[in-house]
Amino acid sequence: MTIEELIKEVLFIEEGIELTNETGPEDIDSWDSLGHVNIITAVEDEFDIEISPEEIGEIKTIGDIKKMLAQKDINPE
Amino acid sequence: MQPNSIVEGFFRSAENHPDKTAIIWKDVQISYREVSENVRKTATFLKMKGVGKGDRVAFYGDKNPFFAYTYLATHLLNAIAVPLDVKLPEERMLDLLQQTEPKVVLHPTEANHPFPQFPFDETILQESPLAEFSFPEKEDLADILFTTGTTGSAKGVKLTHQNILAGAVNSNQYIGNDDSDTEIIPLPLHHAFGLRRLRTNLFLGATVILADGFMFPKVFFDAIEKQGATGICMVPSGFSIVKKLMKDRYIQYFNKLKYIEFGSSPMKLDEKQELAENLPDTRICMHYGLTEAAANIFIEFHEAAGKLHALGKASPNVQVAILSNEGQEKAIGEIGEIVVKGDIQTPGYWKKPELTKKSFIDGWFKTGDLGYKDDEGYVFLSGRKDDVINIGGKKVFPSEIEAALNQHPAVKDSACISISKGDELTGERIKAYLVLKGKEEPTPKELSQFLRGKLEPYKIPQDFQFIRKIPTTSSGKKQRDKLK
Repeated sequence: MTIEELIKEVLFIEEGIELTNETGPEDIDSWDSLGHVNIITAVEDEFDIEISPEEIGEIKTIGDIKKMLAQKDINPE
Repeated sequence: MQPNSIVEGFFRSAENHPDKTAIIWKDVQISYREVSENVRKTATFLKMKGVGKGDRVAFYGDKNPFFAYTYLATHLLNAIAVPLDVKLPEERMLDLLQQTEPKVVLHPTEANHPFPQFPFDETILQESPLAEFSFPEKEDLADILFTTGTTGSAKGVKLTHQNILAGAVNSNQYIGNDDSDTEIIPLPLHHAFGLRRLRTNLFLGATVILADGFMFPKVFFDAIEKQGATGICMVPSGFSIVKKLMKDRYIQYFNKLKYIEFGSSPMKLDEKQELAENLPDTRICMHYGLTEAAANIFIEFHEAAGKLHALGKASPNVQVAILSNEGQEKAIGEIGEIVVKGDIQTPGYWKKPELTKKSFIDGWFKTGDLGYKDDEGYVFLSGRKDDVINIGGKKVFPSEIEAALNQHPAVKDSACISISKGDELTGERIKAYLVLKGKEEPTPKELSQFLRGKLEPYKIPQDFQFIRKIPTTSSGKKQRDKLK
């Protein structure tokens, strides 16, 4: 599952809406505080990792999530 | 003499300590003098656009000082404030505007509706302020707030100046906050809870810090460390977010707070216990309330250590009772509808006389929630009246099944709904939606067996489905109807 697919599922985003590396809370209505935590939890569950408060503080877009995963040598596709 | 309205109280505070900071927003400090001046400028702007007594002014609930200026200016003109959710879809916004027919609508970008619209920015501050305004009377309408309820179409809740004043006075009396406090408000301002906290603090002459939600909790910690914040208002999901993102680090900061007010949705018992234990010197207050009757029950986590599964007791100056459908008061321990009475209660719904009539019984406002009282006056919630599932004539509350399911080691959260099937002997059957903690997926058989010792057989769901997230409103209430 890609990060985009995961986020679409977590945030109940309709099919046809395009997500990019730049997409963040400003662009998606359901990406609010709760949605943010749900994304982080889903990423932790999906890749069996723990994301630290410092790493969480850096996550503001989809691209940031991928960057964080890359630093952990994870390449989701 | 106590002022007749929040806006009158605010201007008194501004007169008493003009140089004190009223609002902190994005590190900018705005004094009571500046805010009062900007409120008068905004009132002048609105007056020039034709706004007068009883007219509606609709504006976005953006978390910025313009919201406070517009809200208080609307009241200064004795007009009615209609705060709108910034995330309203266009169709829904049009519905709310058509219901309220505002004289003026303020929003940041041009929107597609037939009502006079203006930008919601510095434009509203460009007029020279007029000198004379008169304050509204208690019984005048102050606000129309649209409920974020999980069922049905939008209802405009009418609130008088007396209602909103009582909401402020009662909660201050319970929490014990005063004009020396600085409160962080991360809640949306169009919502009854966030708006009450804004009003309450400005009425008192305290300082508010407008924060952007719970996504970046470091902002709160900075507010406590650097700006001396003494209080915060939160929804339980907000706290879960802070805890999830910052782990136990929240303790060292929140320990410095004089008070926290929680509300809008239930909190898990273990989270209440954890907070009481970790924050021994902070007054942790949680209200139960509705837009129609703000914070009518309160509980403080240390004082009620053995009763944390209760909603609490009636707030100061409020009566709470448990009534049968016929309006008879229920005995201790018997389940009925929670009803409330007091100056906080709405006079009814905007242009919905039938709904208004149905919402009251002998002067009591019917909350639609079911619960019971114990012999000490604590009120306990059993479920939402319209969420009740009827299995062969036996009433089942989804919250009861969910509480049992959530005890399963693999289950993080759950939501139960009824599925109506004509061929079912019981009329309805129960389906449970589950969010798992990890990858371990219990079978339906395991889940049923787990519940057998905890629930009566007819309460055990027949269907189970795993999902990633339970749909909730922005304030964290479960939206079970979205699962149907």
